[in-house]
Amino acid sequence: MGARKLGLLFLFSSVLVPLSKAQVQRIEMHVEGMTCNYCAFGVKKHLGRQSGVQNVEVALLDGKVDITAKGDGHIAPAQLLKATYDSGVTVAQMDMTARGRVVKDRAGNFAFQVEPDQSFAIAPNDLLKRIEPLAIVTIYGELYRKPAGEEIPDLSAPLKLVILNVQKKE
Amino acid sequence: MPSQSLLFLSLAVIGLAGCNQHRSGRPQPQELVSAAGEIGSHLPEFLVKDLQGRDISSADLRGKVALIDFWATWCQPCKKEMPGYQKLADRYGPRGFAVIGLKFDTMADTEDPLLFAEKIGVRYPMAVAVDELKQKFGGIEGLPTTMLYDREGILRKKVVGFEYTSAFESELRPLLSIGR
Repeated sequence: MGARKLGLLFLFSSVLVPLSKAQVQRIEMHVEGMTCNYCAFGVKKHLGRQSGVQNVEVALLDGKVDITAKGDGHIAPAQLLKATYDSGVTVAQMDMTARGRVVKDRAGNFAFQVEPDQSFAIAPNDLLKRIEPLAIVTIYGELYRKPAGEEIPDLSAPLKLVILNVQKKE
Repeated sequence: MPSQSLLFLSLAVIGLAGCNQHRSGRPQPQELVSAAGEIGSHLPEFLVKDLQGRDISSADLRGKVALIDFWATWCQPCKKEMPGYQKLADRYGPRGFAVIGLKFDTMADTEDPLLFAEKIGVRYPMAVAVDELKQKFGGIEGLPTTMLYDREGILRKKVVGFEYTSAFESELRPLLSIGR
């Protein structure tokens, strides 16, 4: 398939294949800086106020934050990352479970599209090769890892998805 | 006819009973009081020593819009939002706004609280939040917990966990009768 055709496919994929209920379903974070139950509860309440969030579970001892998205809502991982940092807690890693499809742009770069206006660039790996272009899949992957040695990371940089597991193919 | 008279008499008795009840000052069903720490509840009365040994009293807040912030030296989100509250105190203090910080002591301080405050540029009064004081505010579940009371001492906004300064600023401006 030519690059032009692939580009068109990327541009019009949301029209060609409906993405009903394609969305970010769950965000899991490993965080640093939650020092007590009171702080953990504060983080839970703060993240629970963010757009599209249905539920937040916080495990203080493990430093884990588990966010479930509303069934029909729009959840923005980049916004959650910023909100977590804003609250004074450092995110070591952020993973995502999402339903969507792999698309490819004109330059040959892959992206995981979860909503017509939300997609994540994919870092190619072996798992990516096993996914048919435009097939709807549910994946689990890493979206963010704190850069080593950086106290305050650049949160404006786009999140890049490393697919760790393909949970479902449709 | 007799039944109409009976009905009139009954209504009159009920009406008089109602008047009597009102005069006695008993709380009416519609005058339910919000529990401490809930929106609509009153600023509790308190008198505590600040971290430098001076009195801080709820009476000092009478007629002011007051922000009460529960914090701890070991709470990173608290550290993040406190300088914002100092800015609000600087900006709106002359208009009748006051901030009081109430410090948790359920764990050992990571550093001297006064030095901590100085480092982050906080100058508003702060005291230790002993258990009795926390209970007066309805109990504190998470840190930070921030409460905004209007000039009548009614709780208007309560946030558990980090909140952006702008969220409180937009809430307090109307309470200070400042337009957008």
